Amino acid sequence: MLIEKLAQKNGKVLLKLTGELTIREVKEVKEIFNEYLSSNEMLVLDLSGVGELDSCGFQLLYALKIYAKKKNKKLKYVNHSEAVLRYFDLYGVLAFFADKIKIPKELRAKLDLTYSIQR
Amino acid sequence: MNLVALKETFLQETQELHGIAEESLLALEKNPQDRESLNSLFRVFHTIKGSAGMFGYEFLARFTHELEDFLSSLRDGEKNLAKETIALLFEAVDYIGELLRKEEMENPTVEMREKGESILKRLEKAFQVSKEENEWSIVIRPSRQILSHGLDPYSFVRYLKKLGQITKLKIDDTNLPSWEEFSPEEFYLNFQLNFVSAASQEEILSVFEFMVSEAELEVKKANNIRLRETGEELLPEINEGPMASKLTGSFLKEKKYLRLEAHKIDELVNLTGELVISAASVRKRSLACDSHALQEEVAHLARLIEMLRDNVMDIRMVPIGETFRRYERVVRDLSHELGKKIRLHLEGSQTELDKSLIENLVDPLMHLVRNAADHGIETPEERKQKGKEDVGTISLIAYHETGSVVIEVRDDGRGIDQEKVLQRAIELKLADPHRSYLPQEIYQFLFEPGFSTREEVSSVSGRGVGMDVVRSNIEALRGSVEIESEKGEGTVVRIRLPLTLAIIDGFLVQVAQSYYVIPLDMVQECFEFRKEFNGGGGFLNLRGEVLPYLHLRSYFNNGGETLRESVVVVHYGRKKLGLVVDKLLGEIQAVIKPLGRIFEGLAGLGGATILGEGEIAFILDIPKIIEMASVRRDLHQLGARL
Repeated sequence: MLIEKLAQKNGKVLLKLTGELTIREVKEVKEIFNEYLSSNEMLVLDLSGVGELDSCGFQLLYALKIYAKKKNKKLKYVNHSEAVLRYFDLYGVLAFFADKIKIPKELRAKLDLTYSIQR
Repeated sequence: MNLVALKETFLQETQELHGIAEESLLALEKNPQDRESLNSLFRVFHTIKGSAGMFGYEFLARFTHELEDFLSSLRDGEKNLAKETIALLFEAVDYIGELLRKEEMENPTVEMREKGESILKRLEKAFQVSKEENEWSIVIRPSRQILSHGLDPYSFVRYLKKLGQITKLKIDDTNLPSWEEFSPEEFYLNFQLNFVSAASQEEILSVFEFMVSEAELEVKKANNIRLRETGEELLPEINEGPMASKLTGSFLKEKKYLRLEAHKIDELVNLTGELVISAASVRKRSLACDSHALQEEVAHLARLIEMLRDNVMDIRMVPIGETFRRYERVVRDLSHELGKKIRLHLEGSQTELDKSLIENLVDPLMHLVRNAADHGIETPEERKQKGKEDVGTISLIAYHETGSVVIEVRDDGRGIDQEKVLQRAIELKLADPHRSYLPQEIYQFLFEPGFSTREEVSSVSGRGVGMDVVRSNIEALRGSVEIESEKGEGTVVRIRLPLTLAIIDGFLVQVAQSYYVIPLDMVQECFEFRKEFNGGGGFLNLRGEVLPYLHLRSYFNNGGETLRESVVVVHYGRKKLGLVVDKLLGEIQAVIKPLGRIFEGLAGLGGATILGEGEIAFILDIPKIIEMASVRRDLHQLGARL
């Protein structure tokens, strides 16, 4: 998993995640996230490069959201990759995270998009 | 019995079961409530599964196992099969047939496997819809180490979707520690699901079977409190009851069958034939002896042999019904394909035919049925316009007629347009544009190779393999084909076949030094030939009736002359002919021996037989001779006119 800081301006930090986010990476990734959590800046995670995900990877993204909410830290996920969308759809959190999500046409057929898009 | 032979038996049996499956499906299609057919379908799948498993045809075994599972869910319930599901089952049955035909059973190709999987998948869907659905409430509490143990709850939940629909999924994160404290390699989330499915509790639990040691599970009906914890064994109720008991009663319980290899019967028939010949010879010699007792014994022996012959021939006789019923499926598929409404009417299914005849009839009949569906029957709209019922009927009719079997393929469609056929015949230079033709003559053009009046070729018929092939197939069986048609009313194709191929009752006649056998059932009467009968131009005057005749002597160039001649009146179908011969020698039983290739070009001879004293007699091919005689007469008349 490669985490790049693409931009940092106007009180926003844009991080791009590339590679796998599974039980093998989560520990390390959590520590990298920690570096960005102490500031007041808005954190934007570009998930377009997330290739493989497992439930631990999902849990990390989930826990981060919960944490941000508790601390009133602004956190956005953008450009969800197919793997991320599949997990969010199955685990029913597409709407729960309150991010704007664009689902490419060709993916719509592959996803359920039933209970996961209800709040 | 060795394994190869066993496998052969398995193949045959399975093919038979395949036929039963098709029949059951057809019955179900007509009446979805037909429990008996449903049960018989179920038993077919069950039996195939069992024996396929025994021979190690695993793929076939698994495929039928799944089919059996689908059906068993239906058998206990009140629900009926939907039309779409029946169509899918047809596909599955076809697929089994394909597996059998391709002898792919041991190791099916990847494409075959994929095809099978796709059918199963669609069936699965179809059956889910048709079953009663329940709402289930499922709670999954994975262990913290589940992912480090190599399992991911994601795959289980996703797999669950195959059984039904998740209507709600809530992540329960009460166990999730705060961000600072949680260790991301452990898993803290629980899931609460609402799940709508027709599957049973056991089936749902079985989805999580591999996860049992790594998760706590609760599966209960949403409005019914029943709890099942992990660790507890997933007690599968082995559903053995109805199946096991019903299987002992066989499908074919009304009739008991013995399976034999066809060549054994052929041998038996052959030997019986030799026996008949030799008995005739013995009988003749016994008459020369002056022992009354011997003659009596020999006569008795001859009677027994005759009975034996009849019985042996009977073994080969099979009712044509089974063959007819194949076409139900064909007609059903055709009517879908062509967008027409067609019903198949069967008559005379009990009519028995020689098995080898039946086998050779399958293709010609198929062609005729397809023709009738494609060219004959009109579209429902067209039929309504003409004031006909919108459902067209194709009839397959079998009956016996003077020593032959007649099979008719009838349709109540648009009939044959004689003018169009004639026009096409003229185009193809088959017909003389200046001559007028009788309807029967016009229909004969349809049997010419490459003859088709249809401009466009449909997928059903009209691909050039035409009526000529039908005719040559039928003629190879010593049969004949004729067509009758009424424009706007329909068409009848009539196939006439000899009862059997091997032994005939014949009437022996002599011309010069040659012997000829006329099939007895074609002989109408015999009388002495007198010059005053001769009506001129190759006709006799038979009690005021005009009867064409043929001198066998000149026909076969036997030469010589005799003072006294006799006439044998033969008939075939609706045609009659007088054959002029030297001597009438009476009835014999003739075992037909095929003629060698040298005689192939010799029209009018259907084979040969050996007489009691070793002489050879030729068996006359009466249909052919009648046909030839009429051609000759035409020439004769033509000659007279010129």
